Amino acid sequence: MGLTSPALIAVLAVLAGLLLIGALSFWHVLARPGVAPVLGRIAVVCAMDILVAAVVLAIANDSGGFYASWSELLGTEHVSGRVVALHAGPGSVDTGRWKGHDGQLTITSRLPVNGPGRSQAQGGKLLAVTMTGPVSGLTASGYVYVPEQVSRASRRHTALPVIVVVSDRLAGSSAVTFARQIAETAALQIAAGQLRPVLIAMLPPAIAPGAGRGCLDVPGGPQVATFFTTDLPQLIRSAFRASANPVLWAVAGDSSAAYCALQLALANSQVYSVAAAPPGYYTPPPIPRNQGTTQLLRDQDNLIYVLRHLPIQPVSVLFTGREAAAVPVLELARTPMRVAITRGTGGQWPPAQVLDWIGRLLGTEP
Amino acid sequence: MGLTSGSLLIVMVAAAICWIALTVVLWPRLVRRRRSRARTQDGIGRFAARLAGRVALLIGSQALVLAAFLVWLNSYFSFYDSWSELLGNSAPVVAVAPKPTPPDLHILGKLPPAGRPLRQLPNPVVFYGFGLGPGPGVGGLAPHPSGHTGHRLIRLPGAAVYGEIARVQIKGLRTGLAADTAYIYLPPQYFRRAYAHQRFPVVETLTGYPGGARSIIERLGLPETSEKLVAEQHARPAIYVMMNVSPVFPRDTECTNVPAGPQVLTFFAVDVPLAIERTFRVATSRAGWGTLGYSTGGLCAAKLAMIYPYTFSAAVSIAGYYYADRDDTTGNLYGSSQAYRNENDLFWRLMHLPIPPISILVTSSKIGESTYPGTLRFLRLIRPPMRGYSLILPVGGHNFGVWREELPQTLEWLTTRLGSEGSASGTSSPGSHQAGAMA
Repeated sequence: MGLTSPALIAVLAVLAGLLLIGALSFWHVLARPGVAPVLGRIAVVCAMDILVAAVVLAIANDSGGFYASWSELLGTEHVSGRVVALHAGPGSVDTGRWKGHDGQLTITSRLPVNGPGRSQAQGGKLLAVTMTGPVSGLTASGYVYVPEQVSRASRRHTALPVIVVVSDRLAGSSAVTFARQIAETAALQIAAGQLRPVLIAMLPPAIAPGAGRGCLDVPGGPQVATFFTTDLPQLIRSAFRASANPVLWAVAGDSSAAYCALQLALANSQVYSVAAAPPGYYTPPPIPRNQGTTQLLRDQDNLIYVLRHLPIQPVSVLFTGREAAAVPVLELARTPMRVAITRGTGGQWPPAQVLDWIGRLLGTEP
Repeated sequence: MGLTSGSLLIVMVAAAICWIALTVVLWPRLVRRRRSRARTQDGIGRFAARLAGRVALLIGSQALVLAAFLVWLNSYFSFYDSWSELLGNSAPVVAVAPKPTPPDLHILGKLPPAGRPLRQLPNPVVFYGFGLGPGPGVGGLAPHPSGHTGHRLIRLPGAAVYGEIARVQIKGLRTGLAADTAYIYLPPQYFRRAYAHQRFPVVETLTGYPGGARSIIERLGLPETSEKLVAEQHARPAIYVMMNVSPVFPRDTECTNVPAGPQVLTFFAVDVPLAIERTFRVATSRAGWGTLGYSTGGLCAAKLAMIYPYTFSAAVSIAGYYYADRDDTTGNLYGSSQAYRNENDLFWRLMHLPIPPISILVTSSKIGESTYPGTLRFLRLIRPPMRGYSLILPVGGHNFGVWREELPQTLEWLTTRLGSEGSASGTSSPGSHQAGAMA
């Protein structure tokens, strides 16, 4: 009889039941004095206990599927198999190690960035890029500013810090103007020695239709957070000499992407440890089709909820603008989080101050 | 008295034996007296009392024997390590009571100058004890629960020969969760001068549910098998971080970031690697990190690598399943959202999301393993750049005996895929040429 067959359980249960009824009705037989009835009592009680335990264990084994056969339970059986590769044939040679499936980062055009003073070439390059994230599957178009110092031999082996700038103004026809403005501000500060050489990746927040500007993984929809936290660092690192250290990664958003920037830093401090954004944007902007979200998921996307209920992340946050709007965060933030405020930027972006502040914080652990 | 302590088992067995003895002694007293009168009301009452007494004696002894059995099975398989785990009244894990410390606020302009010394984050690994050797059978000395606590690995004499197992608590700085009883196996090579500049590959190893991390050492025999395979040059030395599959035990989270609840996926995918990289000489790129788990741990191993392919490059799912539904121990895992549920369904991910660039080995058996149909379905859905491998036994159940049989092949498969970083001057490792090519 098989170990997992229902018949085994049935037989054991019937035996246990018969024994119980038998013992109860023929109690007086074993109650007689003498050695034999005492031994009989011991035998009956032990047999019943073992039968009941066997029934329970057999039922447990059956429901859990632990042991398939008697020989397996007793350890007498040794079966073996071989590891089989799924994809046989040419082109499927397993190199043992994927050197990163890098996705795609295509440079579509190169623009020079005006440096200060005489030479135009001093400022570095602004590259228009198209990126396809291998994990999220999303494709985004944006710009990457590469400082001039990258090509210098002395800096060839230093990994550069990265600032990811997110703004709606980086989508559409005027995007290049805005990107150039940021790049020139950075070039100026780098040349002045106020900012260390830094890569700046510039992207719109709504990189996929139906994703909204919150940079969230939409359940059942585009995985924008995955793009920004998994794909983007990998793509930038594969194409440029960017640092892999989170303390050298910052994210900045203007009012169109403030939630996005804060959310990325507060939920993914292993990727971004510095964030700059205007205050006041703590709930995700509405998503056009949010059929997949529920109240619980929305709670988790509320940054005030995150600050209140999840551990405080080791990030530095710069609020650019009204202090009153930052109060909810100021009240909840505590070490290891750092908060700073700069006043009077008046919604203009990018103020040189923001780059300056980020540049000084990059590389320090909060 | 600890749930897995020997004394509890002794007490239970003694109680069962005493009860059986009591039954045998009291047996004759529960017999109808010869002189009892005809059927009076009194007689029926006595009859009922006698019957109740008999039933109580027999059922009582069965209950005690069964309880002793269960205590023994629990300690054998290390399902529950303590009473609090069993009863579910362990301390709350997401304990972030807001402290009234003022925020570290700087108005721009008063910012401290750049280049000041770094403020250190708290140390995420706490050591509770150290043991020599890959398992209790070899080298002796199991890690002691009430042993030394500290933040530094203590190198025991003989560690370079036997290797070391450290009992640790791994704290998640970003999720607030903690793996309270985790074990880290450091192979003997870790302590040898020839490997002093090599960063070792790491395998995150997860138990089934329910199960304590101890069962990976004692029942699965993973460190022992690994040591043997390395000595025979069938596998390469690696560091095994052995953890309970659920850091919020007794809740079964199936490695899910529960909406507005414990972020278990992030804990295993972000917190644990950061903690280990901070504490040990380990690889920091995806090429050096893999996952391994059985049963629920198998689901987790596959899920971790599929969702975090830039943290883990290879996964082994031993007798795992690929989708977790709601049951008594899980609670609401997906925030009542079908779409979020889908994202945690590995079949759905393979059908609807980009395929992650990882290698995965799945094991099951044709007879006796309910995960077999799911495993076949999972294998059918794998497409490049993901690499699928299977190890299917003709027959075998869902137990440590079968998994032990599968372990040597899976460890060989896994460790030859994981790269170490840095230069190894030791030539005993069969894959050292690969490591060189890697660096």
